[in-house]
Order: sequence, then structure tokens, then C-alpha cells
Amino acid sequence: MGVMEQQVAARSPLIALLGNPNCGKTALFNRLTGARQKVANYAGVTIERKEGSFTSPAGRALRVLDLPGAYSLSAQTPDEAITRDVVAGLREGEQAPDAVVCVVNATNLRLNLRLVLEIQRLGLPMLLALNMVDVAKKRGIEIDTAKLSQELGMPVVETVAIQAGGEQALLDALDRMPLTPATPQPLSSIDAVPVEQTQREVRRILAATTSYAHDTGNLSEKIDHVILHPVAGPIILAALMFIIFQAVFSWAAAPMDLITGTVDSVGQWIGGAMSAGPLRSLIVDGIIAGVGGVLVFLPQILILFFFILILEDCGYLPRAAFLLDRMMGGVGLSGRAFIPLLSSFACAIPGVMAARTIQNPRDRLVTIMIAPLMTCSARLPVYALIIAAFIPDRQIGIFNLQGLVLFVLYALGIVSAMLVAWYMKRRSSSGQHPLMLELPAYHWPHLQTLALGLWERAKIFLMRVGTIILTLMVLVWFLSSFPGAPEGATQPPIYYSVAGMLGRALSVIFEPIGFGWQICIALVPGMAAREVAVGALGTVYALAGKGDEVANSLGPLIAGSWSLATALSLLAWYVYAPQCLSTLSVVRRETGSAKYAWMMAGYMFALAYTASFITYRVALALGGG
Amino acid sequence: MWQELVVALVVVFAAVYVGAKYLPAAWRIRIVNRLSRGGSDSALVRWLDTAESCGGGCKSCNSCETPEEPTAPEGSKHRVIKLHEKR
Repeated sequence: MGVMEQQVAARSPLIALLGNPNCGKTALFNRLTGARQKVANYAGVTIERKEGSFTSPAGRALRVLDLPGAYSLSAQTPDEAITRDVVAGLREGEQAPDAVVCVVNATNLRLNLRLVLEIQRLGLPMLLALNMVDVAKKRGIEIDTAKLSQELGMPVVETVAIQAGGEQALLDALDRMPLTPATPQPLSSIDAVPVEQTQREVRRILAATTSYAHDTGNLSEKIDHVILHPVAGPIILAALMFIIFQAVFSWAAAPMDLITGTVDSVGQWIGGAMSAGPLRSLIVDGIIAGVGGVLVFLPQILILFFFILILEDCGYLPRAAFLLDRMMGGVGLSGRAFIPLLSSFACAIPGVMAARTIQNPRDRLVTIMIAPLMTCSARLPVYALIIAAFIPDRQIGIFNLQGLVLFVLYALGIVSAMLVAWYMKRRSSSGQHPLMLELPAYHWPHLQTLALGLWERAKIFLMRVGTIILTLMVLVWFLSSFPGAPEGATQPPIYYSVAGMLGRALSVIFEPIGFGWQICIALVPGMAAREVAVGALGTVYALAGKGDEVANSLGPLIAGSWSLATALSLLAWYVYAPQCLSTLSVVRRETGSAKYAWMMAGYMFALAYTASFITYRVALALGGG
Repeated sequence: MWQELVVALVVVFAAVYVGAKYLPAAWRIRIVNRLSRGGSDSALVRWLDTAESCGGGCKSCNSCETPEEPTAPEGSKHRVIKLHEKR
């Protein structure tokens, strides 16, 4: 960014948490620092270096680094390269850590110890955190920690990162550890020992330290017989997805009504209490109609994430990646693309960044380019608004029609992404890469993790509403209110405003797909954040309305103003709509070239326009005009 | 009249906020360098001196790198200085 920070004073000692993916590093990091970094029961959640600090029980100030998981320091992917560079002191402007805490999954030492032995060759002070010992004990895995410590030549402590107090032994061990600046051996020292020899050493250490007291049988494997069944597996996955979208509409009705009622009451109260003037118009037509119109979708977003968080925490998501690997392979994508694509359902930005876990640069680029076709949560308010206004709330058998339409829209995004990936891969010659995925053990979702995850989602949404959406609404209101209507005007004042003029100019382009000037006004601020389009429509129709119409909620207003063909066309538009500016900016950063950001904006605009045009014309031909 | 005045203030604030949020990186660096001449580190500089925005709230998706937080040891007379690299 061109801004460099330097420090002249001595720093607190720095310890790095290192280990295989999904062994609990981030949970331990959160436990030590009190941070709330995202944790989930699958590999590849952390893709960047995270730094925090804490004070140990003995009063020692320590800095701690959470690093992306790696199976080896011979980095294959960009996220693994971050880990390698940080621990080897190769990162510009950064010293190597003073000590390394190797976090290992106690239930899978055979896989985890290889990395420990590799890191040991760097010669940095080390400590082994034997995480998930509770699960290992339940499975009858007995580990002699004293013997393991002796074999490895480093302190070994037991931790349970997901339990309060589960980090205590680690804190005590850190207090006993002398921490002085250390210089690591060059990375070539890792390759000095052949992999086979390292693996033999792992087996020897395991034989000396670990015993399987009784075989309790692995419940995860039994569940996987059903979940990963070639026929039953995909059916279960489809059913799960279907239930989620049904619930988004069925469960959200009551809380949404409550928020709508409150917003309307506040609007009416302020409208009645204030004298007429620009400030009242700003508050009632701009802020309450605009921001309130977006706020109402909070329950639906939380219901969607409630299910996603449960599936994340229980360990189902990597299984879904496994199930979809064949389908994704069919279009030339690696199964590793599943997690980035799934992250894109929250927001395309973490999805684009999570593509760092993909080894092949061509696969990574294709994944980045299609990630925004996954329906991000910012699109949900737009879908929900139009569906509620135009699709009858009717049961078809056991299904709710509105939920069915929402499911179709999400599916359309996924299918389109697959088609685009197939097209892009067809033009490139890179071969397929097998999916190597570690399937975590199933466990019941933790209520605290679930509650925290929902709280974080609510916070993110409310922060967007209170910052960027609020300020954009103020500007939309301003541009929609000035200049006022001329003498003898026959249209509402907004028609003559700056926004009205802009909307009318844009409608030349968008008229063929059924968008009037009011919709065109909303499309522009929607480039900043998708939900803003809903808020902007709220403001536009509030300003265009007269008398009591202003106090009404947006749904009935648009239902009375648009044709069904226009509504369906707008839905099609938002399946493909060109990305928000932030996503394009991140694409440029992650690909290292503005070319791909422009390509993405261009192809998505073309897709959106074509899909809307076809939808609008077909709907008109079928009598939806 | 007072309504017009309040509205003008709110609109100006909103325009500055949105403008800063979506400022191109090169402009942002130039403004920060200009404002921080002479070693000043005003609230405005700190506000503008961020990575490209993820769009108000999105950055809590936890994908971003957390910057190194320079801190002087407790009780030390040393202080942390911040250098803005000019490009």
C-alpha cells in the first residue's frame, strides 16, 4: 500500500502457531488473544497471516501469529507460501518468530508429525501443542506426552482449543520457555532429509509413544457410509440445500413483519412530529425508507447463515466438496474450488481470497472469475424484495413457492458458474488435478461458536447498514431531491432531479430489458453494495409517491408499479449483475492485474444483460407485461 | 433555514465518507503523504491510511491480513514512529 511501518523500540517476543490445516490453530489463537477470527471444521479457513497479542499468567507480553495451515514447508499454494516465508524469516520487513508452537491434531499424529520434524530442522525454539486430546482419548488413543517430548526434544503440552481453559498448559509452558531472537536455518535444510526417512521417523516415534487402548469404532466413518454414498449422498446434499432456502422464507416472516412495523411506525412518528422541510424529507424518505428497507432483511440473512454455520461446524462441508468433486471435475474445476465458492455465498471477497488454497494458477484464476456468480448475501435482500412482491405465498405440495423461486435463483448462479468455468477451461490446456482433502471428524455444532458466528454476521450487516448504506442513501436522497420540480411540472419532483436525469439517460440502455428510470437510478449505487439497490428503490419510490404512499413498505409499491416481466428481468439481472467495486478491487489485487477485473465486469455485464433481455421478452410473450 | 443547514452538513459528510471509502489507492497514498508532512498523524490521516476498503463491514470476513501493530514496551522511553513511504 505504500505505507511502511517501522519501529525503533524493542518488540515483545513473537511466537508463531504452525500446523496442518484444521488442527485448531485459529481456535487456539482466539483462545490466547481473545480475538474472534473465523474458525470452521474444514481445512483452508485461514489464508493470511494474523497477528494478535496477549499477556501470559506470569505477566509476559507476547505477540502471536496465526498462520495458514500447511502439510509441509515445501509450499504448493500461495497460502502455504505465506506460512513458509513467515516462519523462515523470508518476509520483507519481518523477522522470523522467536519461537514456534507446533499445533498438532492428537487424533492424527501420523500425518501431523511430519511437519513438526520439518520445522525442527529450521532450528527455532519449539513447543508442541497436542490439540484435541479430548477427542483422542474418547477414541481410545493414548499418547505418552513425556515420552513424546523426549523423542522430539521439545516440550509437549495438551490443549483443547475449543474449551475455556483448554490453553492453560500452553500458557504455563510459554512462561517457562526462554524467548530470545532466533535465526532460522535456511529452508534447504528441510530437504536435506528425504521425505521417506522423515515418514519412517514419524512411524518410529508413534510406535514408541502412542497406543490404541481400545477401538471404539469411528462414528465419522459410519456416518460417511451414508453421507458420501454415490446415490444417497447427492440426494441428501440437494435436500439440505432445499430445506435451507425454504426456511429462509418460512421462518423469517414474523421477525420481518416486526422490523417493518417498527420502521413504519418510526417513519410515521417522525413525519408527524417534524415540520415539513428538507430535513424531514431526508430522514423519512431518505434514511428511513432507504435504510429501513434494507434492515428488514436481517432475519433472512441470519437464517441462511444459521444453517451454513451449522454445516461448517459439524464437518459436513468438506464432504459436500467431495460429493461435488466429480461435477466440478466435469467442468474442469478442482474440488478444492468448493470452499472458495462456498465462501462466496457470504461475500465474493473472502471467496476470491480463499482461492489462494488452489495449487494450479489456471484453476485459481477460473475459480476467482466465477466466485462472484455465487449468490452473495448482499443479493438476498434484492431477491427477497422482488419475490415477496411478485411471487404468491402459496404452497405447492410441501413446498413454499417463494422458497422454491429463491432456490432456483441460487441454483441458476451455481449452474452459470459451472458453465463459465467449463468455457474458460475449454480454452486452456491445463490438466485436471486430483482432489486431496482431509475429511475432519463430525461433531455436534458448538452453541457458542454458532451464536458468535451469527452475532458476527449480524454485526457485519448492521455495520454495512450503518455506514456505507446509510451514507449512500443520504447521497441518493440528495441527488433525487435536487434540483426541485420546475413550474407547472406534471411528473413527481424526482423526475427532474439529478438522479432522475441520470436514470432517464440510463433507461435508453436498459429500456429493452424492462427497466424504467426508477430502477436505473437504483442500479448505480448498487455497484457500491448490492443491498443499496433496495434502499435506493425505497428512497426513489418514497420521493415519487404522494401522501400515505410514502409510509407504505416498498414491496406493495413496486408490485403496483412494475410488470411481472420487469420483476423477473431484474431478478435475472441480479443473478449475474456486474460485481460491486470492492470485489473488482480485490480481484485486481489477487490476480495482480487490472485486466482480470475488467474482464470480470465485462463478462458479467454481458451475461446479466442477455439473461434479463431473454427473461423480459419471454415473460412479455407469455403475457407477463 | 436550520433544516437546510443540517441537511447540507449531513450531505457533505456523506459525500466525504463515500469518497474516501472508494478512493483509488494511488490517490489515497498521495493524500496521506500530503497530510502527514511534518510528521503530523491526525485523525484524518489515520482514517484514510488504510488498505483498500472491502466496503464497510466486509473486512470482518476475516480474510484480510492483520497488520503488524507496533508497540513500545511498557514503561519504556522509546516511542513508535511511523514512516509514510512516498512513491
